[in-house]
Amino acid sequence: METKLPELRKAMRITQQDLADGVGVTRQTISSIESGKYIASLPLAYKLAKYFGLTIEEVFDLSEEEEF
Amino acid sequence: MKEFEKKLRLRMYLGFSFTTFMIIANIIVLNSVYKNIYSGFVMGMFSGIAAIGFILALQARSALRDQEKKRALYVEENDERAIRIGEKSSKFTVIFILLGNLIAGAIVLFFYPVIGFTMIGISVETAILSLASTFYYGKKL
Repeated sequence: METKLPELRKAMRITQQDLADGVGVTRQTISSIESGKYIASLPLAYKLAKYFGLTIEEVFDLSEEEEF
Repeated sequence: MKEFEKKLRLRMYLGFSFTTFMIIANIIVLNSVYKNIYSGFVMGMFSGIAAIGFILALQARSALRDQEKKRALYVEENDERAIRIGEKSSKFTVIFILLGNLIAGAIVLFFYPVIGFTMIGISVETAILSLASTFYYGKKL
């Protein structure tokens, strides 16, 4: 799953730790989401989108995910 | 966060109670008339449990007194990735313990039947518990 979190963070000049503190997860979780190793749950995806004032679709791109 | 505070308070009381209980148990073992060569091992085990209880109780107490520490501990314990890692690793751990115990039990059975049957019994119990919890959570979630 593609994510725009690194770009959004850079635009807002915040670190992974700042974002992690803002949404209540560890810095490692943010790092894993950004590198695509971990897919955020729906509540966390919502919190992340809300943090940037965007929608989930604007932060995460699911178009490359396998469809059933 | 209120629920987490309750959890921390319970953890603190349980930790201190366990520590006290283990110290008392150690004193009993030390003064027991049944003291033998294994007493030192038993006392060491009790001391280890007491130390873990004490550390957990201290951690909970310090988190209850400091808002920042409490938040950090909450995040650490409720981080969804950490929870997922725990779930995945525990599943594999149970399977490997079960298989290892079964194989070891079957081998030991030839030499020491009582120990072999005990080990196989533990494996069966682990499998039943694992199936029961899968069934329970399958109904609950």
